[in-house]
Amino acid sequence: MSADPGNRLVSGRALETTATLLACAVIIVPIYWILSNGFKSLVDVFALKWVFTPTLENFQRIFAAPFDIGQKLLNSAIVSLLAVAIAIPVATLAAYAFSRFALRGARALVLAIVFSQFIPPVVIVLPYFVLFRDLGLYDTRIGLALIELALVTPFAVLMLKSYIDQIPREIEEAAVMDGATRLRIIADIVAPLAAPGIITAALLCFILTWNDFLFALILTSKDAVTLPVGLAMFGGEEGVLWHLISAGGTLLMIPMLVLSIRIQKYYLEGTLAGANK
Amino acid sequence: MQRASRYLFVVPALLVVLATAFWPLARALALAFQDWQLARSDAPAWLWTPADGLENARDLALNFERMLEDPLVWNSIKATLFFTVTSVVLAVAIGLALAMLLSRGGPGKALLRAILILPFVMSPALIGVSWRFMFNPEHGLFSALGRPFGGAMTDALGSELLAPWVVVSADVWHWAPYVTLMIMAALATVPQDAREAAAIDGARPWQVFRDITLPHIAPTLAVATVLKCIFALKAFDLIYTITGGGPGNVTQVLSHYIYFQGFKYFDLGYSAALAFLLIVPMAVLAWMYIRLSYREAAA
Amino acid sequence: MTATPIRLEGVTKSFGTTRVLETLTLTVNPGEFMVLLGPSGCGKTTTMRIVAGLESASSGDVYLGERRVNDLPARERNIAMVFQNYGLYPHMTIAENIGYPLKLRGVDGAARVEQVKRAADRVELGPYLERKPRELSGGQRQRVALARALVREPVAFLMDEPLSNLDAKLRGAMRSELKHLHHELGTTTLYVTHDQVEAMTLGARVAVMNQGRVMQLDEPSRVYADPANLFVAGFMGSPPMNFMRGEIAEGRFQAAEARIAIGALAHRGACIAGFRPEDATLATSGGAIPSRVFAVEPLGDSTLVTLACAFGRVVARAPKDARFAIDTPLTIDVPPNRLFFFDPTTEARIRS
Repeated sequence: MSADPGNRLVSGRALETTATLLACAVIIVPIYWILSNGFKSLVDVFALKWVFTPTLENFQRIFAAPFDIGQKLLNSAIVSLLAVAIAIPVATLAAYAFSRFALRGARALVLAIVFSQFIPPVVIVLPYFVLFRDLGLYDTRIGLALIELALVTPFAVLMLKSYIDQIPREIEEAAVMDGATRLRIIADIVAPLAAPGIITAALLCFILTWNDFLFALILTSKDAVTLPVGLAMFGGEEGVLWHLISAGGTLLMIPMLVLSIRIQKYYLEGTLAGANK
Repeated sequence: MQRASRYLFVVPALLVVLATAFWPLARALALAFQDWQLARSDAPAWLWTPADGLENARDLALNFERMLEDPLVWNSIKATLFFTVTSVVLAVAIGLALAMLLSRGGPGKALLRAILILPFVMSPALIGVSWRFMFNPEHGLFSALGRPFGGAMTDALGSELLAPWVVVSADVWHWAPYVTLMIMAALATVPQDAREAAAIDGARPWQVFRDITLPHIAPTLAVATVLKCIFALKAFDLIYTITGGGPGNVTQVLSHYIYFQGFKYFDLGYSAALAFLLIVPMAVLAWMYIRLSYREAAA
Repeated sequence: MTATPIRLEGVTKSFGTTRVLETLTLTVNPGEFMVLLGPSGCGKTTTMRIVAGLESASSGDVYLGERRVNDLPARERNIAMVFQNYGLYPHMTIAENIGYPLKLRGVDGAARVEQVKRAADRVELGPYLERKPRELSGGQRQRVALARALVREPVAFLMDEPLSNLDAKLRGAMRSELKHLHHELGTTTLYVTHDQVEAMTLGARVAVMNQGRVMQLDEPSRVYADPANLFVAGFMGSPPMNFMRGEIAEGRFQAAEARIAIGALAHRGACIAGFRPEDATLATSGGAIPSRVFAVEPLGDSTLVTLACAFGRVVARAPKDARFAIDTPLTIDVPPNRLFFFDPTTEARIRS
């Protein structure tokens, strides 16, 4: 892994390439495993065939009763969209304020928000289990969406704050001197410049809520069940349903794979594109 | 803009955080000192009230006393320690190795860099299901690999020895690439000049790594380690879907046991008391994370 | 439009417990181009930001014309500001950047297009109106910032080190453009810089600042030729003034082996004497200050000779053909009317 100069160049390089390809394989194989088994017929799954004819019958089966994957898919989508739709505007406003306004006690508030991310979900869900039952929010999509906020809001605030911090203050001051009000500045200047960051944060929050398991497991039972929980419920009888589980897993995975293309730009670059100096 | 109205910007976010993080925490803390079996009653009852008399004050800690004698508690602590230590060490080590590997060009690197994000966006529940499938002795991946060579595959998930490692492997698969991304970002900030100056001064590559690169990325490594510990303590989905805590409770980490007591036996008071075992280390880790990340005075 | 004066009366500014400006009283006359000059941290940018309204004064009054503006928000002051890093809006085209102040004032359609074009043409950016800032060079971006300031008719211009990010050649060209522009428009201008050349060439008056105070406020030539204190004397001039610590006695100034005749001066006792490199004459013997050559730097238009004396090093400016070997003993002479004297404790200039 360290550079080997000169004479050991060839074998060093070969080792590196092997390691790289191995790493790639390790990452891809589990993903491919689920994808491929989703498209295999039961016979092929049992026969452990590598080469097979893909079929859509697994997907057809899980959309039908008693699995009703379509319903669970819809639940996942609604819960995630709802959670993100609330979390992002709320977080953006707070992030802007923390970044630009010298608020008294801002530091303590930010620390409190950081700290809240580290409360174990199992602790959060305990009281809400009872509360939701009392309020009639148990097994509802709205209830679940509200709790998902616990997962994503602190994360979104911190991520957006660090993004807004990168927008040079000078640009906003220039807008002030040009005669803009605070709201005008947010609309005309900050929002367009922060848009890539806001989109990335929204996508990440969507991913976090889409993949959530614990909250959905405990706070739903049949109506609002989301996709990951639905998948785990397949697992009762083993062996026979692997192909169906894989089909369900494929459905769960595909949106994430698509979104990850956009997300990964953020992680590999992570800087503001707009030139200033 | 008026001073007061500026606070309006942060109020909604604070309300959300208060409601979804701090209120449950407080409620759970209180529950630990109460008795509430959901199957039997609809409301919690304090384990002790002043009316019961001071001599019975010890009753308040009934849940905690039970914890001390519950063999499953010690089992969970062991399982959690094993899981946390191995997954953190492996994830950070592999993450660092991959980051160093990717800091240079070469065949396949671009591909690896492109797919690094994938394990992170997978639902841990799905990863659990996937691992359970792959390690299935009859239909799993490893049987498929081994079949042509004859011989059956051991039931790793049924083995008390191997099952914890299977769980760790799933968790490391999920997190190591994320650690890699973190370290890659840190590596990008290592000043090229310092490295070149060291090379000119006669330092060999491993010395450059030890004296220039490592100190520079040390803070990030520390943050990554702390974060990974936190994620390991929080881990629930994986364990639930791969082994359900078994076989023989060997993979029943704390978060799973808390869930078990709370939502299988519906003993909310005891479950809340158990939660303390998680909250305390989490608080310590959170404090460490905050110290490491927010050492600058400005918020 | 009649030009507006800017007036600061007893303005102080503190950030927390740090005092950044000390009782500043300053008037920029209507239509005047005033330069705030000083090293970093002297408070010049803070002063400008207080005039702009981006910071508020901790105490004291700020006037734009007859109006006290302490409580007037920045966006209502109708002042145009050019920032050090230009402050352009990266996501807008050049035309949109320049037109933004007009858009905010409700100037739309053909009127806005026309005014934007006029401002752009004035800074020779006409062909670039549809580009984005990142496609332009530093000098061009600077001119966009200028055009944005020009496009409306503000009561004053504030410029915060606008040329410091340009390379030397471009800076020279922009300086003359700014000077010409001011001549055309006659708008009151407050200009902040740490560069003496800009201050000398652009300002009608220069306020030299240090540690939150104005050390001297005067025309550039007077600040150079008649410094009010040690700081101003040492700050102006490149290479800087040479200083000698010594005392005045028996009608002469002496420091170590140096003995210089001085004119009529009432002061006696310890003081600091200074002279500029260009006022020093070098000779092989006979001068007031004995020294040895330490280094010689031919510049092309003149030669800088650094000399080691008993009390320290001195830089003299010699004719462009002068060449000396290192360690050559030489003497330095300075005419009495080219000597400046400063009180060693108050650092004020001793004039009589």
